[in-house]
Amino acid sequence: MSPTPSPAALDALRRKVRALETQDRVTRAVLPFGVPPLDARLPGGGLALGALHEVAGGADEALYGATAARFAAGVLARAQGEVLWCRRQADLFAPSLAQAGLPPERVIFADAGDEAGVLAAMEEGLRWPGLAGVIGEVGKLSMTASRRLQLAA
Amino acid sequence: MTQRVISVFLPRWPTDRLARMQGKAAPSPDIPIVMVGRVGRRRAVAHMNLAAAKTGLRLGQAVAHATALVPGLLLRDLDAEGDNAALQRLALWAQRLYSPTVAADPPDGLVIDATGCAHLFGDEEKMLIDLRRRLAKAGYAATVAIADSWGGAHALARYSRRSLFVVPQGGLGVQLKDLPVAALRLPPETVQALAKPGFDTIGELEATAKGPLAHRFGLEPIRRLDQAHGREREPIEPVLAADTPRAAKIFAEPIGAPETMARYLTELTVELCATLEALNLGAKSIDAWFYRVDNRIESARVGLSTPARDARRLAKLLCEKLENVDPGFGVDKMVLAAPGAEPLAYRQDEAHLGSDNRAVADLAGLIDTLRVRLGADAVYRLTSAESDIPERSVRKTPAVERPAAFSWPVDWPRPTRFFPRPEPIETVALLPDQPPASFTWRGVRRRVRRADGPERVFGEWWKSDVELARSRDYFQVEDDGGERYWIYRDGDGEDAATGSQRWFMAGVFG
Repeated sequence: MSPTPSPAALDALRRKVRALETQDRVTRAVLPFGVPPLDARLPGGGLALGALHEVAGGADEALYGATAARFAAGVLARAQGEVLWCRRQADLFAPSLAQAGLPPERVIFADAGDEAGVLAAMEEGLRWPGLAGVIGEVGKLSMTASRRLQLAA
Repeated sequence: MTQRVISVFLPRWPTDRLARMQGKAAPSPDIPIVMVGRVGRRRAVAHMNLAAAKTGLRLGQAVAHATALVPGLLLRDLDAEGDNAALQRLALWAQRLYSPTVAADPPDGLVIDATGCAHLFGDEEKMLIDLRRRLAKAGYAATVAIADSWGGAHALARYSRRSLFVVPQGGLGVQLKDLPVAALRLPPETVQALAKPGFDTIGELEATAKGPLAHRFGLEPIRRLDQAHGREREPIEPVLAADTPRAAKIFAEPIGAPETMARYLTELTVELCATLEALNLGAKSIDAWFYRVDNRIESARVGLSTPARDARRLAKLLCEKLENVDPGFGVDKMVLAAPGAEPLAYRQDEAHLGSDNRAVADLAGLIDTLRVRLGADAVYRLTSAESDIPERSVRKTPAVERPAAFSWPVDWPRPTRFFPRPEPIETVALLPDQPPASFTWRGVRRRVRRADGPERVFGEWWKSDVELARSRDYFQVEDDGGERYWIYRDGDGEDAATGSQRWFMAGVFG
């Protein structure tokens, strides 16, 4: 008896399990990117709505979060409604968000001063019905904090 | 937290008020005016303006004597009741601007509990400057002092000969020492009686044994002395307009536990909201006062972005403020009031027909929660302003309303992160037109791989003369790691009049 099954068999098995899993799961609404190669790889064909997503960059980007911010703005540009943007200080440049497709009049900015304040403001926003999205800028996200936010979302 | 009290002294209140009421018809301030009151059956000088004071008239002088001494003296009857009513109105005005706890301090002053309010203006001195400026604009001469106690601030505002006095915490004793005994708010007879054995200053009185003092002059001087030094609390009973919707509750037993306070606060909010509903009003702000058993009044204020009377929401906002309220040994009375309530009629909800207004109105609750937690200035929206200078092209607007659509140039790249204060960088660059070959920012040297620019921005000469010749050249640069930055040179690279020719980091692209 061969101890290692063929990769193809394993793959088939995985697909079967996934199909079984998704059968009785509530199908969640998603926000597709509109880029087929991206969407095809995401479960449900897009970013799950009502969920927490982390956007992070590497190297210097981790310090300034410029690309991450623009990416998040681009994602929320395609959602309908108001956006709450929680940050520690006001160093975001609105014209750039507008260029990413998110007109600043749709965004409510909240300057929280510190990371705990950002998380608290985010949670408040997530519990409020009627927002298209909530963005929070934090340097590090603990497991507890992310779980809280996920539950609120 | 130590109490901080502002005392406002309006030395010319009756005459200033007269001049303000007469408006343009008022006589020139150079004309001496005397307000006439009655002392027994005698008509005497009760008050005078600055011009009259310069002529050497004294208070309490007979009117006939005064008119004989000063030719062209104008006489007006003193309207003490009117002055007091106007002082109450002034207190209401100050309450809107400065602190929930403001009271009239008749006959000629205001007292403001400024504990924890000064940071809204920057610091205490700035708050006092603002207060004096506004009063002066309305035509009222004022001297102001802030100290740890009502008595101390009251004395310093009136007797320190300084128009603006900030006494640091704990520094009251030294400042009070040399003031006359009259500064203690004692009746004139007591001041005279104290003067006989030689008590002229507060310092002398303070240094004397209290027992014999009380025996001879009664308890009043000692009480006033303690109040002035902040050893005895003196509650400031806040002024409220007669028609302000309010709700109050008196407790048989003082309460202090946070949960109990929150419960009664919620009950009171429900009561207040019912009152508001009966009047078809919505609260724009809610003040809460907590009367402590040790004769002190704590206060909290919640501001709302749109008029509201949703008890659940308001109670939640108020309860968040409770953590700043120190109940001490207990609170035996709670008062809730909604000053400046605005009409709020029932309105039929628009059915979900895709109207934008609905979504915005729904967010008012969230915005208020965040404003209470983070501060009123920390929640806002942004819109465009007419300016080519990047830092001036963005303007804050209130978060409740959606501002008009934006208009920024879309064809020029703009960085995602923008430093409100540009940071100076060291560069190696060819003048006048080349982007730098390398630059050092925050201690890291970066080589410039690619660059695009310049984008020249000229100073706004219509705003200030300094900007007439100014210009800036913005460049986009990319370093070895692929990071892109927005940097600029202050000046055109040739002419010194256009700027300092130094380089700055303006932002980071995303």
